[in-house]
This record gives sequence, C-alpha cells and structure tokens, in this order.
Amino acid sequence: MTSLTASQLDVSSAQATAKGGTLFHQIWKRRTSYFLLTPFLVLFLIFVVFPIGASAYLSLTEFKGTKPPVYKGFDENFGALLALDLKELTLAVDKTTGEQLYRCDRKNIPQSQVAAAKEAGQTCEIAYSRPAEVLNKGFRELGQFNLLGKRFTLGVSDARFWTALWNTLRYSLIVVPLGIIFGLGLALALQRQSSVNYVLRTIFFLPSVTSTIAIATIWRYIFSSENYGLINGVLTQLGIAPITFLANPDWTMPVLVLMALWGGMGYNMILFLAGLQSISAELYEAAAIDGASQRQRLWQITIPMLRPTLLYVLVTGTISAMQIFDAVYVVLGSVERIGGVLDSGLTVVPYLYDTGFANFKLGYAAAIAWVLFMIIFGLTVLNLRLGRVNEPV
Amino acid sequence: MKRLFVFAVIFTLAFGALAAMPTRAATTITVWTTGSEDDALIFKAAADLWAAKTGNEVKVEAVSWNDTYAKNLAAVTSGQGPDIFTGGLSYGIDFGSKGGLVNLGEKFADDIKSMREVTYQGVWPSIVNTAGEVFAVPYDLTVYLMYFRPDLLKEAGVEAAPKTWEELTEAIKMVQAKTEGSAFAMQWGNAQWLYFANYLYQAGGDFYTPDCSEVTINSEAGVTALEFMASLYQEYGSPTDGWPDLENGLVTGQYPFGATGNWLVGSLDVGKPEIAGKWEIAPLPAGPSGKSTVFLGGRVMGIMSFSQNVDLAWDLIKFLYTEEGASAMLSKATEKSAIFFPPVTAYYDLLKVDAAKLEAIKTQLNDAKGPPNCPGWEEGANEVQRLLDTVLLKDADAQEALDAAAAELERLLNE
Amino acid sequence: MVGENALRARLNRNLIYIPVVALALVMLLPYYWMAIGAFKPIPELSRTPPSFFVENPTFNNFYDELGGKGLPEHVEGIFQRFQDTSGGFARYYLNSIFVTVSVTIGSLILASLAAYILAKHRFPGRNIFFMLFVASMMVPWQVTIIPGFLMMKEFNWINTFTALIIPALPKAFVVFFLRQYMISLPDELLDAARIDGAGEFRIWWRIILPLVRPALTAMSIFVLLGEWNNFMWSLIVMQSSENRTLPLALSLLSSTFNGANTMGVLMAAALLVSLPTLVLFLIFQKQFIRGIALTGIKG
Repeated sequence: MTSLTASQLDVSSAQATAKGGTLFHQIWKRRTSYFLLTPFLVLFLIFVVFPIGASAYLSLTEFKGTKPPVYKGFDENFGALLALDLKELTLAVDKTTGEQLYRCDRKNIPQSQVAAAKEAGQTCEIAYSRPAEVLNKGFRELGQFNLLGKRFTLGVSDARFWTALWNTLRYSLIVVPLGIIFGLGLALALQRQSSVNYVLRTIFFLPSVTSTIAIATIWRYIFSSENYGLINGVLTQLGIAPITFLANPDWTMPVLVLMALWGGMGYNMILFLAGLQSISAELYEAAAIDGASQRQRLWQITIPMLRPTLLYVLVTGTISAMQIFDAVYVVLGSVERIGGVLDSGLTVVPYLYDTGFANFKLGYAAAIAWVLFMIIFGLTVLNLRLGRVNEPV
Repeated sequence: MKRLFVFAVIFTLAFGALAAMPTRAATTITVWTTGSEDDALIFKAAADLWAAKTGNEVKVEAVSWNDTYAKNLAAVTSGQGPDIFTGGLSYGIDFGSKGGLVNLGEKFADDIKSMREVTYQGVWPSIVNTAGEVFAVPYDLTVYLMYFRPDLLKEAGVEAAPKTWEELTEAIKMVQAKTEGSAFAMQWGNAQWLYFANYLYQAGGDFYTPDCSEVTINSEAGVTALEFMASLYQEYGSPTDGWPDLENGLVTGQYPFGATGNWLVGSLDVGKPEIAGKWEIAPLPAGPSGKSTVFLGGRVMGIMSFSQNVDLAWDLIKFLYTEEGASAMLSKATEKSAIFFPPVTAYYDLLKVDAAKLEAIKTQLNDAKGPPNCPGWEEGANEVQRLLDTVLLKDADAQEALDAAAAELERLLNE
Repeated sequence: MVGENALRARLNRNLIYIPVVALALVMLLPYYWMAIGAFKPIPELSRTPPSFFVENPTFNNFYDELGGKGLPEHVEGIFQRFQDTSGGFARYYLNSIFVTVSVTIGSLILASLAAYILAKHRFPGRNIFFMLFVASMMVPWQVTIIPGFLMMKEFNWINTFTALIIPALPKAFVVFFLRQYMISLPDELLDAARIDGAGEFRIWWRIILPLVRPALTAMSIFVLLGEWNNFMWSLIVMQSSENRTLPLALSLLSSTFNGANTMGVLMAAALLVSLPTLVLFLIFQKQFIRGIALTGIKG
C-alpha cells in the first residue's frame, strides 16, 4: 500500500526504492534532514510561496480592499491592463462644408485658409480625425504611426500602465549597458594593485553602501531649479538660465539614468575586478609573445574570459533596473504625480504602488506585479540566451 | 568580528524585549495629522488640554502629505490605525464612501448642525457628499493669497498689486523689463490642478455642475483658464518646479510677487527677517468673470469606523471647536511661526496677525471655493493632472486636453 | 629606444587617470554637498549663488538651542524634530539597527542551516526543494506585497516590528549562494565528525559555519545593506511614529521640507542615515569587497 502511494508521489522514489526500502522508509531514515530544513522551509512556504500563489489568484479578482475579493477571471484585470485597440484614422473634414482640414500650430483650419497660415509662418500638415472618435470607449491613444500610406492610432485601455512599462524598458535599456560599460572601463583602468587605485575604487564603491533614500534626498537638492539647487546655482553663476530638471518631462529620464549610473557603476566595477583577477596571467603572456596588440588582448582574451561575470551583471542588473522604485518615489514623486511630471518618470513598480496602495485596487495591482514578473522572466531568459550565443567557439 | 556579533545579539534581544513591552494606556486616542510635525504639535496643544481635563491620553502623529492618502486608506482597509485622522477636504467623502468613517452627520446630528452654524460656510460644499452625508468636519482652512513687495513693484513702475489677469501680465512684463529673469511664482500646487482651480473659478468655470450631474471642466471658461495659466509659464517665465522658493524670491527680487497659501503670513517674517515689514498681501487677480475666487484648501477631521472610542474621539473634536481649544492651537502655531486658521469664524480675531493682513485674508476667504465633492474625483485627479501637464509643460491644445479630462471624469462619475 | 617606448606606455597608462579622477570627483560631489549642507548655518544655506565652502560651521542643523522659538535664522535641529515620539530621531536609529541586525542574523542562521542540508544531505525531494528555492528567486518581490500586506493584517502584525522581521527571514538567494559554497567542502570532514559522535546540528554550527565564513560575511553584508535601505515594505506596514525606521523618517522630512532654511536639517539627517553603513564599510572594507566579488563569481 505504502509503496503504491509512494511511487505515485515522487519521481525520485523510483530511485529511492531501488536503493532499498520504500519512500516512506527513506524519508523516515532522513528525518533529521527534514527536521533541520523545516525552520527555513516553513517560513519560505508561508512568506514566499503562499503570497506568490495568492497574488496569482488575486490578479484574477476584483478586489478593492474593503470588501472580500470577487473572482472575475483573466479578463477582469489582465484584459484591462493589456487591451490594445488599433484603428485607422480618417482624414478630418469640416462638418459643415465638407472641406479637408489642416492642422496648423495646434489649430485645425480648412484647406482654403492654409496658404494664409503658411504665410504667417505656421507649419501645416493634413489633419486626421480625433483618435477619441474612433477608439473603443475607455481607450486612450498611445501613439500614431503611418503604414502603407494610412494613418493608424494605437489605443490602450490603461495608458498609464503602458507609459510605465515603456519608461521602465527604456530606462533599463539605457542603464544596464551603460552600467556595464562604465563598470568594465573602471575595472580595467583600476585593476593594478596600487594605493591610488585602492582609494579610487573605494570612492566608486561608496554609493553601493549608502542609504538609497539619503542619496535620493541629496539629489533632490542637487537638481532643484531653485537657487539652492547645486547645478542650477552654478549655471546661474555662469549666466546660463536654470534648467528645471525635475519639472521638465524631457529631463526626467536623464536624471534617473544619471542617478542609477552614479549609484551602480562602482558595484559593477567590483564584480568585474573579481572577474579580471580570475583570468590567468599566462593567457596574456602567451598573447604578448604572439604580438597581440592591447586592443586584441581586450577583445580576444579579457572579454571572452569575463563572460560569466558579464552575464551575471547583465541578468541581475536588468532585474533590479526593472524594479526601480525609491529614486522615483523620493526624487520625482509628489502628491498628484507619483511618477514626475506627465508620468515621464513613472515606472512599473511606482505605478503598482499607486494602484495598490493609493487607489487600493489590489487585484489590479497584483495583475501588474504578474505582468512585471513575466517581463522580467522573459528578459532573463533572453539574456541567458544571448550569453550562450556569444560563447567562444 | 565575533565580538561585534555578540554585541549585536545582545543589543537585538534587549531592544526586542523593550519593544515588546506594552507602551499604551487603555484609553488613548490616537490621531494622525496630515502635514509636517509642526502641524501635529498644533493639534497636540489642544489635545493635551483636553486630555488633562478628561483624564485620557492623546497620541498625535504626523503623516506627510505624500503618504497620507495611502496610509489612511490602508488603515481604513485593514481596520487598524488611528481613532481620528485629519486630511484633505475630500477625504471625508472618499473614505466615508468606502465605509471607513463614522457617519457623523447621523450619529451626532445636533452637534453637526450647530457646528455648521458657527463655521465658515464656504467649506461645507466640499465636505458634504451628494447624498447629504457628513463623514468629517473642518479642521482648518487654507486659502491662496498673493504676496508681494510693493517697493520692488514700484521700482519697476507697478504702482499697486495687480487686480486682474491683464494687470498681472502687464506687471510681469514691467518687472521683467527692470530685472531679467524675474517672474510671478505660483508656489502651492504649482502647475497642478490645485492651482488651475484658481484660474478655473476666476474665469467663471467649475469642475462639475453643483449637483455633480455633469462635468464642466472643458467649458469655455476652462479653456480660457488653462490657456492663461499656460501662458504664464510659457510666455511670462513663471517657474514650473514643484515648489518654487517664493520666500527667497521675495528677498532677492527674483519673484517680486507670487501666490501661495495663507501660512506664509505667519512664517515669512521669521524665515526671512531681512524683508520683515516690506511685504504685503492681496487677493489673487480677478479673471474675465470679474471674480477673484480662489481654491479653498485645508483639512477635515473624522473618526475611523473601527475606533473603539468613538464618543471620546468626538468629544475631543468638539473641544477643538471651543475657544479654549482653538486658542491653544493658535498660540502653538504662533510659537512655531505657522498659521493655524480655525474653521470657526468667531475665532478669526484670535489670530496673531496684524489687522490689515487679517482683513485681506478674510476678504479672500469670502471668495473661495473648495475641491469638487463629486464621485470619482479623487480617482480621476491623477489623469486630469497629466492632461493639464500636457498643456502647461508641453504644447498640447487646451480644448483637446480638457475634453479628454472631461471624458475621464464622466466615465468615473457614471461608474 | 626601448626606454622611450616604456615611457610612452607609462604615459598612456597615466593619461587614463584624468577621466577616472574627474569621474571620481563627480562621485564625491553629492557627499560633499551633503556634508557641507549639514554644517552650514541658515544664512549660508540660502545664499545665492550657493557657496561651496562652509564659512561658519555649525551644529545647529543637528541641535539648535534657539530653534523652534520663532527666532529668525534658527530652526529646530534634527534631534529636536519628531517631538511626538519619545527619543525622536535617535529612536529611529535604534529601530533601524534593531530590524537590520535581527533580519541579518536570523536569515543567515536559517539559510545556512538549510543550505547545509541541501548541500551535504541526501534525501528524497532534495532537488525539488532546491529547484523551488531557485525558481522563487526569479519572482520579483513586488509580486508578494499585496498578499503580504493582507497577511500582516490577518496576523495582526500591522505596525509591529514582527512585520518587518519575520517575512524578511526566508531569503532563497542566501540559501542558494551558501549551498554553492558548501558543496565544495570535503565530505570526509563531516564523516570524521560523525564518527566522533557529533550531531548534525553540531556539525553545522562547529564545522560548516567556520569554514564558510567568507561566504557568510558576503551574505550578511548583502542582507544588511538591503534591510538598512528597506523602504517600500516599511512604508506599507508601519503606521505609528515610534515605529518608523530611518528611511521612513527621512522620507517624511524630505517630503515636508521645502526651501533653503530646512535644507541643512535634511542634509544632517541624510548624513546620519548614511553614516552607519559607510563607517561599517570603511572598517570592513576588505570583507565587503571580497563579499560582493564572491556573489558575482558564485552567484
């Protein structure tokens, strides 16, 4: 009886039975192992595995906090989160005369007046109907594009989510490669053992051991466009008009990238330094005898030998870049704008926080978390693939 | 390393034991005040008096404006948190509709009725919901005021504080001709819907119709208001940063005039002693409708529905409405060089502000209007904000942006 | 000829220091700005253009006897803030240290025990457990916050240190890392101890742990830094003012302070919040660097 249940239970039981005794017997024999594993395992199951499962369930419910969650299925949250609507835009015509409209400096005017407008220095282009007129109800335009001579509009039902996603991807795509380039560059520049290098390495590593909130607070006072802001204080002194780093959507991303690079390149440097140390000096000596130039040595020995480190930095760097929260919350956040002006710095986790803990749409927030998970999972797999493709033949 | 480890363990155990000890007496009223720590101390001044009288204890804790909505909502949802909260004017309606607050209008009908009689009337439309329910009562009031340096304006040829939008832009041009880079600074709610509300009201518009049946943000007045506000940033150089340093600007002349909440009346002389006596206040310039209506801010207070001490908490709230309670808060505010503006009209004169300035505040208060009380506003404010930004900070069309904002608000209104 | 080449090579090598040193100065700039801000008196803080040196250094931003009395050019220092909490800012220090130390010690003990079992014991299901731990590392922790918050509510742990400590104890990454490290230890050592009659618990504590000390140090640094910075979870589960941790306190100040007058207090607070880990780093620099490097190689 026991052996029957056991063989159904576990694949490894076949092995176990082969070695002697039933699975139950095996387990009993190894009770100390299980016993010692229990403390971690119990906490792990309660605080990691269960919440992951529960979150998967919540993502399928409507749940606003005050009342118990109601199961609604996939479409309720994921549908609303991911729904797209692609529509062709028609040309805009004047409602009364039927004349083709043109858009000149933010105003739509009939064709007959275009010449006059152009004369007045305005730039005109043909006008299309408003996206709101063609898109499904509740959808908002994400962007327009031309294809095969037609104009299309892409609408989404949760534009803030897509903005957040786009910002996060954009941010990661800039920060991760730059972080690797700077980290590797510093490691190469500072790899010799000398007291100067030691001090410099220490300086570059400092941000990794500094409180993130403290750093974010300082940055706020560095980027402030007021007189007490460090950068603008200097700019004003040089006679340059102050730049509103924190109130200008075009500056949000550069500011976030700068902060991330400042904070992260020293960490990468240390990882690369460790990787460099593990490359045997003999390889370089052999290359030197073969007359390889410095550049050749870099590309043909150093980088290939650093592949595991590169892969590690790429994978972990991408994962943490995708989860950016503190910097956005403290440096850009305000009561009405958690992601900075025009959502220009809104990334997925702050949006998740906003939906879950400011609007208390908990089911919806759980769905956002799962989408984030899927994307990170996909990127990790992709990164690992890339790492394998580059394997030296 | 080992010694450090041992020390760490001992410390941890000792502290853990300390933290585990019960720290609260049985009848403690917990209050969360929204704002800075000084705001919490002002509440505490009256609360301590009440506690001494009644033999209870009060614990007052500050929650910042950034976190307050989330924290209070978490408290409402989890059933754990303070007895009394103070927060934005719309929180009463919002948390009330989620079932998180005691229905004060029902439970303490008589008290509410007499409170409504003695308090500033303009605040109630933002507090009472469309069904006539009251979940929170006013705690304090804030209105926008224009602060200016008459001497600096005169130097630039501006004789008096601008009274209309046209006079304002005219004055900006003149001060800019005198000092390059100077501007009109909008501090509180800069480039946000909060400040936009001023222009909207002044242009004769509103977010919704009074009965909340229709969204009117995209009316002609709305477009006028938004276009005017955008022109201040884009043509007249007003700073767009989240919180321009108006105080310093008044000193340096960078901002010879600007607008923010009435709290500066209390703190400017202390914060910037070099301009003490050199600045004045005035109502905001009137818009095309001829009105200089401003946004009315301030805070409300309510009792959490999970509170075990509803009656005691209500007693404390009522104490804040007595002259004794109000004076305690007012003198604490003075001590902290802040302004606490009580909702009870009879106590205005207790404010330690010189007569001319008090008169100016009263004048502006008579022409002030709070945030909308309509369903879905809280949730939609974020999207409205984003759409306003597309006009204020980018160059989107005002009509189109407001149409989109109206569509979103309508969707939430009907949800 | 050879000499000239060598000279040029050395020159080239030293040229690289120009951008590197320039970059290092940029790295130090925020620290410098924080440090001078913390010691500037109010008139210097609000000076236009900002000054890069402190003329009259002061401790007023930490403690100002004249602060809070409505006097011009005096505000309350950081240790006079948070008057609604007994102990004020110092208390938040203790809170943060308490939570960080508890989680670091607790999670390392639990994880190293589990890692030992997974690395050196053979039992049915071992691989399944290991795969489960590894798989969970792929899930961003944000996935668990919503149910996590609801669980805290059900357990009545909202606004307690338990909510900050207990859920933070099971760290799969630490188990994974320590297991990789332990697997390379020779089995003979353990067998010898078993013959001597040592129990498994004793073997773990007396033999394994001392042998994997570098890895333990690496992981304790890893956990310690993470916990010291823990912000989002604390923001969600902590309510009352006496339970704030340093990141929460700093964020509260940061969002209520505006303008130049209070900048000094904020910088003083930022300095105090970042100091412990910085000092710890400077003392245990070698272990820190080696630890971080280890995660890269073994991870």
